[in-house]
Amino acid sequence: MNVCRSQRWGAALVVVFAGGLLLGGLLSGCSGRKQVPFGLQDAGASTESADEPEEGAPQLPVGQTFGPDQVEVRVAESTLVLQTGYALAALQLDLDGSEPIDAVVVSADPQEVRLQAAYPRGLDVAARKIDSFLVPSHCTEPAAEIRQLSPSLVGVRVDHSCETGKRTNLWLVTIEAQPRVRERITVLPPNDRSTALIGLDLRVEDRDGDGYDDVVAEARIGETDVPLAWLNRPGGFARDVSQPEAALRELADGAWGSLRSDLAGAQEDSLAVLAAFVALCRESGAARIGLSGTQGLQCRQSPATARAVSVAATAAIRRGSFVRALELQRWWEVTATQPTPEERELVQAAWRKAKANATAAWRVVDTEGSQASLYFRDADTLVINGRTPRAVQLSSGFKTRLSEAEVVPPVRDTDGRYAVRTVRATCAGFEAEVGPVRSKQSHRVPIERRSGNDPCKTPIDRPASVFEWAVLGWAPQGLVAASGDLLRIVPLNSFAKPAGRPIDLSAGSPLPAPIRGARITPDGSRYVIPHAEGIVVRDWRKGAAGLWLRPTDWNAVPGELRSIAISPDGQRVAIQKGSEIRVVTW
Amino acid sequence: MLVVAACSGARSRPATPCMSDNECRSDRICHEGRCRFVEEVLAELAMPPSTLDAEQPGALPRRANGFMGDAAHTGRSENRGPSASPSPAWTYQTGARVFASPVVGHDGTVYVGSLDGQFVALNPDGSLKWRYSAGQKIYPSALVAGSSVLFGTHQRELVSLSLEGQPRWKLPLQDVVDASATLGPDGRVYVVANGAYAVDLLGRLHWHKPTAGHVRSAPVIHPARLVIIGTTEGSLMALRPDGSLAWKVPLGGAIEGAASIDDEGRIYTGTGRGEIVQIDSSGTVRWRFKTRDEVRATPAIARDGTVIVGSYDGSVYAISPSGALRWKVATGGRVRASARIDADGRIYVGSQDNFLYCIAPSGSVLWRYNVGQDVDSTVEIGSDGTLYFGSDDGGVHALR
Repeated sequence: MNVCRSQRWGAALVVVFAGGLLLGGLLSGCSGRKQVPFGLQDAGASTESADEPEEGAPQLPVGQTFGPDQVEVRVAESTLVLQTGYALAALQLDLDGSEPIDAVVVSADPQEVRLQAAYPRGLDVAARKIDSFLVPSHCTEPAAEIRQLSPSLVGVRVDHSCETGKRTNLWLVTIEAQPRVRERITVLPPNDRSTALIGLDLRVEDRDGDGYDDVVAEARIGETDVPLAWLNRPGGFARDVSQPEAALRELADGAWGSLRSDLAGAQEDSLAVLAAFVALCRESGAARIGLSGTQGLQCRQSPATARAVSVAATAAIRRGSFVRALELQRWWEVTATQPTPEERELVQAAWRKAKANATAAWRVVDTEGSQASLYFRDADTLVINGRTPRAVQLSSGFKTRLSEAEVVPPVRDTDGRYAVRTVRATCAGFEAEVGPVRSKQSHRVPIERRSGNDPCKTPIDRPASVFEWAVLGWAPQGLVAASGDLLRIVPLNSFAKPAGRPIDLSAGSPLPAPIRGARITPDGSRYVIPHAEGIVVRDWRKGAAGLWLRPTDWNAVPGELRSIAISPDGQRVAIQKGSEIRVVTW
Repeated sequence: MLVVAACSGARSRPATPCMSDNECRSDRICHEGRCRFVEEVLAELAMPPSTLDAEQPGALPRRANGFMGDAAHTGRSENRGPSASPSPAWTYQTGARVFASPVVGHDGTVYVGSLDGQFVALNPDGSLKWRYSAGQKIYPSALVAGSSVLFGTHQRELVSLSLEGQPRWKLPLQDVVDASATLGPDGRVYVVANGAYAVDLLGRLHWHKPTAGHVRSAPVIHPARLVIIGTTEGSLMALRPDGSLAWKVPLGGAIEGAASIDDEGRIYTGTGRGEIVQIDSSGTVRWRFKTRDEVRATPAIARDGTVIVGSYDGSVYAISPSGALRWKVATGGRVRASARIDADGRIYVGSQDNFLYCIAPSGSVLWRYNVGQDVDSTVEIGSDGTLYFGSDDGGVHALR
């Protein structure tokens, strides 16, 4: 048999694998050219078409699948009796180059899926484990398929039905006396942050033109195609790190270019880039494609995603989806998706030009040179806790000086014993600093754990920004924290210690009550989000819609927005902009 | 006199301040900032606040209120409901169906959860006292046990709150919780999900008895120290206090409602085959009474032993302890709610024909009240005779 000939058809072959999976395969070159040692840029152009099947390509064998409780697998004239679990599928093929024929067998029990090679030895069958993986307890109904992809490669697909969808594992296994797993790719079911449909088509092509066949996984995330490639190198496979960034960049640049002419199209494309980044890249914290047991590809920086975020946020602002825009801007806090100054300015300009939902009026009620903490004591009384603590009666303008004892921390527990001092960004994630009201003691309460496995190289402990996390208030159940459009309850017990997992609330779902805090009404129906260009008032009862408030002479008052509070009836907002304390109504 | 002095001396010993169990010596735990003995804390948690104030020392009190009133699920109440057609006192609106039965606490606070994920404590005038957001559906009724309120959620956890709404603990379970928890005479809370769990009031899991499928029937406590649950596969199981299986009897139809136990220790349950079954304490089926559709309600048991239960065939049945039909009342819709019986024997039960019914012990309808929505929630009777229940439009209603 001419090995190179068989490898050539193998390289061009595209095999349809159940469930939309395409596999083709051959991993070693035969052109006689030198194998490219490193990256794709080192290679010449490919001259061979990988997509057109060569005529006369023989049909490759497909394995047998089994019904439930199958514990015996026929291998040549002998029988393999499984010691644990039951057989899902088996493919008879010659592994060791000698008679009788051998087999590759997939078996499972509720905890684990195993792949093994089976070799007949007289009446017995010797089994050798090739690989295995554990299965989450909520995943059931395993189904497997084994196909020979080329003379040197077998593809094994295992699907499980899990709570939120299908979980797929795919093994690429060499055909040799002691088969080895070249790669295991996992596609996880949808999660809270990634709901897109994911398809994966594998094929083999000489991507770098060195005559050695590389593996290409055409990932389809929703409607976005991203070709991921593993290049055949002397030391094994190396992932082509130009992807997925190159594919995402093309789409993001297109969205950027069409922002003026096709707002809806630009928004759609930019969100598609973001969805692909979330599904593929480890840096998103919600990746669903994994390799060899790891979750997500290491994408590091993704300027394409940062650009897509800028386009999507701009489109959201222009279409009046202000809370959505804030949510998108959260991506700017992720190291991998830092925008360029030009992209940042695009979004800021959109905020400045945003059409307010309501005509907002504001008036000065006081001045304060230093940063003041604001909160409403009741609908008509604003407390300004600055250099000189005081209360202002808004209806009359009458001011009363307050003693220190009369000023209470706005975010405090039901008994008034503990208060939130600040929210810090640290290596552990985001933490609320909580302590007794009349003491300097404090402890940290985790709001969000740091995601990803990357170590925190430089210790950090800084105040969280407005787009990161803020504690809006304290209900009997615990802290009500917000980040962009995300609202989270951090349950705390009566000693302000964590009492269970945080609970993320979907838009409009009931909030705990009563809530004590400056930036949220006691019934949780409205809260305010400060922004450099205005104020967003979020109405939680009305499907969490956002109201964009920006008095026409906003820029006429110098300085940044330094403090903000909403009245208990949700009808007015007090802000400190620069040195002026103003009350905004609409 | 000597005893009193000794007791008061022991009680006055100051507890050491603490932030965690590690800071407490010997077998004490850190509870609410103080090092305390476990038994002491358990006794305190099981005690209603009013008794705590009175400083009554002694054994674990068993004062709890929950689904169907007591741990035997008889549905009997010491209170008197309205004998004539009532008027609406107030309605508290949630965002989704209220399937749970409101439960009235020691101070008149009404506790109830909704499928929109909120669990509320309402003042007797209907105003909101506090709200807890579970983030997932809440089907079960609350269990008010001493100074704790407990309920399971679709977040796969059993939640324990103080009466002020602050979390005490949350116990992760392996499945969603659809049924109410029950307080046993041993001070343990029994709850079902993928089997039965026994937990103490500190949130410590004592055992878990898994079942093949999900369990939706609230555990009922038999005087022979058995915890009885029904499974969706159609078996009634009796578990001993250590979680071991005492007996299991297949009944042939899914058991969706809880079982109940009469004063003689006889067990009653409905099945998906439309039967009401009487089983003795050894697990032997004594009789089956056939209705024309599924029985998902929990049978209530009147003081004379009459079993009152509604069926999906639209009727409310009264069956004698020997299994004979005493009377039946036809409603215009399926009856999913369980019946409650007041101090005078009047029966209150909702139907999916949008009405709440009041039926005399003789079987005559005294009045019916148009709620305008299906009433699948079991009625609670307040000490002043107010009837509390939920409806499919998300309302928590008070009638008096």
